[in-house]
Amino acid sequence: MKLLVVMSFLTLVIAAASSVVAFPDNTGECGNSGCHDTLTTLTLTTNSTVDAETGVPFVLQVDAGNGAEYIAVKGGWADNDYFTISEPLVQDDSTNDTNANDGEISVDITFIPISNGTYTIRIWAAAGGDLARSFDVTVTVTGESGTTPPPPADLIGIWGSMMVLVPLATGVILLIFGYFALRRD
Amino acid sequence: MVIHPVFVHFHTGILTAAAAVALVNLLLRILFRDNINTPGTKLARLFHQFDVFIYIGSIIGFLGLIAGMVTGFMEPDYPVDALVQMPIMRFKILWSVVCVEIYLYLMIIRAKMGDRVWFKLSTYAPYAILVIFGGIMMMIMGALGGIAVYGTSILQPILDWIGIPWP
Repeated sequence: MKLLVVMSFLTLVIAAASSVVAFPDNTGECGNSGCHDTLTTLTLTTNSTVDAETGVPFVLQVDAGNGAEYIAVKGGWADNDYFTISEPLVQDDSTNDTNANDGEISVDITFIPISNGTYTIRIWAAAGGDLARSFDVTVTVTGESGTTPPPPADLIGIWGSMMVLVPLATGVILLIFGYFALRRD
Repeated sequence: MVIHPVFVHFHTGILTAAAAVALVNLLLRILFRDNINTPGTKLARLFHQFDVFIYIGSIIGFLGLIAGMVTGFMEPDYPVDALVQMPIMRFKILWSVVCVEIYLYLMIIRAKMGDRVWFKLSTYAPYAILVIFGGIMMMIMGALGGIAVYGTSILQPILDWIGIPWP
């Protein structure tokens, strides 16, 4: 029985160790299709400045290349909430991607300003592995003062509070468990 | 240099295995209480080996968890300010801290009580459940790391099937 347990443990150790075997000839970082694919740059281009009018749509053609897999214009980033966005997330080779090549995305994204002022649109592109890049577009919107979007939830602030409260609560629970475990009957 | 992955696979596997073994031990303790308390029986020996596996696995896992957390903040492409922008990373950081507490508790309790940790319900139930919970959390955090790097994980279909949404 002891032999069985020892052999099981050794099997786990060997399996775990074999998963981190190094290949010294491959000197690059881990990328999309297994380790050591190096993606040195990620291009992201579009207009950098735009003049627009409240309620009037305008189009930005966004091109990303060199391994790009996603383009995103998420709410909560910069002033993205001041626009209605037609394509908040586009994946490579999806129906909205007009570039058929792998690792290259071209998409026409329609923005509708909801209020006047000068705003920053933040566009983000990501390739496989750990490569990502963002690009800011400054938009000057004239016309009527429309609605102001509600402030986005402060997720990082909430998380910061949870980083204190959850470990604290866990510590209290564990102390209670420890008290009952170690107290003398 | 990508150093974090080298430090996370080993202890994640150990802790997941420890969770499975703890589940078996918990069932053995509930179903065969008399047998495992009889020295010399096969079941008692098996139970003891499993108990040692959980204890040593928790120590290795705890050290690996610390190493994984330290190296997680050493990636030059991902400074802390960038990491906390991603929900997946926020989840991983938060529950890594909680898991450190859990494994610290398990080590201290097991070190002070030895085999007696399995005697009382008020001791062995939290002990076994926390080993299982910690192992599951480590497995989920590993899967989230896989999703962050590769876009998918072998665990994804299982959690999708259960209905657990990704953070």
